[in-house]
Amino acid sequence: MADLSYVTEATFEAEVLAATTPVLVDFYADWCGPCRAMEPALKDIASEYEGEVVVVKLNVDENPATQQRYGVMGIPALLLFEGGEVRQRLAGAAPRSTIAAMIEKVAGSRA
Amino acid sequence: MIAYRNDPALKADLIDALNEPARLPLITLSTWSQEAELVAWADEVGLPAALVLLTAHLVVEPLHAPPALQFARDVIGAIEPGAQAEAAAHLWTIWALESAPEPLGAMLTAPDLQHAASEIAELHRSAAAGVEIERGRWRAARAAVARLATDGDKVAQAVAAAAWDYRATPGAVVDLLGAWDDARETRIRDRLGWTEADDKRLLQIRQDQMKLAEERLGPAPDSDKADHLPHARRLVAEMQRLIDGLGDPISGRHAQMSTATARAAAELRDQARAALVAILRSPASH
Repeated sequence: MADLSYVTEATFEAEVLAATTPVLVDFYADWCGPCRAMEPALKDIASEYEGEVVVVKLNVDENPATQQRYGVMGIPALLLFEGGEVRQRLAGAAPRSTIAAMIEKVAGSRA
Repeated sequence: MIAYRNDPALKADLIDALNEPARLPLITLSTWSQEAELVAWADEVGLPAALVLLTAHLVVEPLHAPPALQFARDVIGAIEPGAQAEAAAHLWTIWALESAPEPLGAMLTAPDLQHAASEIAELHRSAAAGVEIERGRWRAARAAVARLATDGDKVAQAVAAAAWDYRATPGAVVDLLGAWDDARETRIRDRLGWTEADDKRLLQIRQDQMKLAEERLGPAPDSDKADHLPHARRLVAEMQRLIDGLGDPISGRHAQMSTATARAAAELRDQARAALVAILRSPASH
């Protein structure tokens, strides 16, 4: 399993919007059980798509402006960014294959 | 991975633990939040993580309950110290796709999706035989299902959940089990004509009647007061009484659906447990 890195409002522009590869952002909070439950799946996804997609986490309690900017109404929420724009989004906890299918839609169109 | 690190005493200790429930960790439905711990434990005792995760998730009741204890004893007892048990999770997946009483492959209606499911079963057959499979082949199998399935096809989602390398991604087998259960529940809902609109209407009725119940019973005591829990129970009972008083058939339909889905989930769990134990007891899994 890969370790996940964290982004903040201060680093979001450089690490997500300006990234040259797609970035999957996990909007989460420490108190959120389903967010914790999804952590192993996200680590697996980061390993499976290493080099193609970067997986990062953003704590909504500490970064509320970014949450509002992207209309994240509930957590966990996954937003897949490419070229500075949201290409896919998924609300709620999801199994690996659902997250993978979301990535394939973007990764597949790049191939 | 060498089962029980080739140490019969380790296996005996695990079986002893199952005979002394006080020594056991509480494994319940919350296993979804215990994946990392279970994977670490699997490594400690020399069992494949996918097999341990699958077993833990098939214990969908407190581990201290007799049927769960017996299932855990059967799994541990069936694996010999020093054995290679990697094949078991793959063989169980083939069972889920092809030979369960209601196999996922047969739940698919489109021939091209059925073919994609067969390809995934073939990958698991090869993996069970010890063949090294490139990660890209699993990915291609998942992508094929995603390409062929319509949005919201729960059976296809369950089939795609099976297309992972369990050595690198052991938690995928749990996703498969969850997605399969979900697909069966969706079928029952469809068969009983239960719709999303019904979900919304039932929620609205519950919220309205809960509000009425709160008005009748007055404010709740503080959460640290002794009468907080009894008050909460009275509140729920009052809400239910008010709902029953409405005589709306949606409540009866919901109860019927809940009973049917719970029965189906228990049936799937029992079948899946029996299949896993049978696989572990067969020479093919070692």
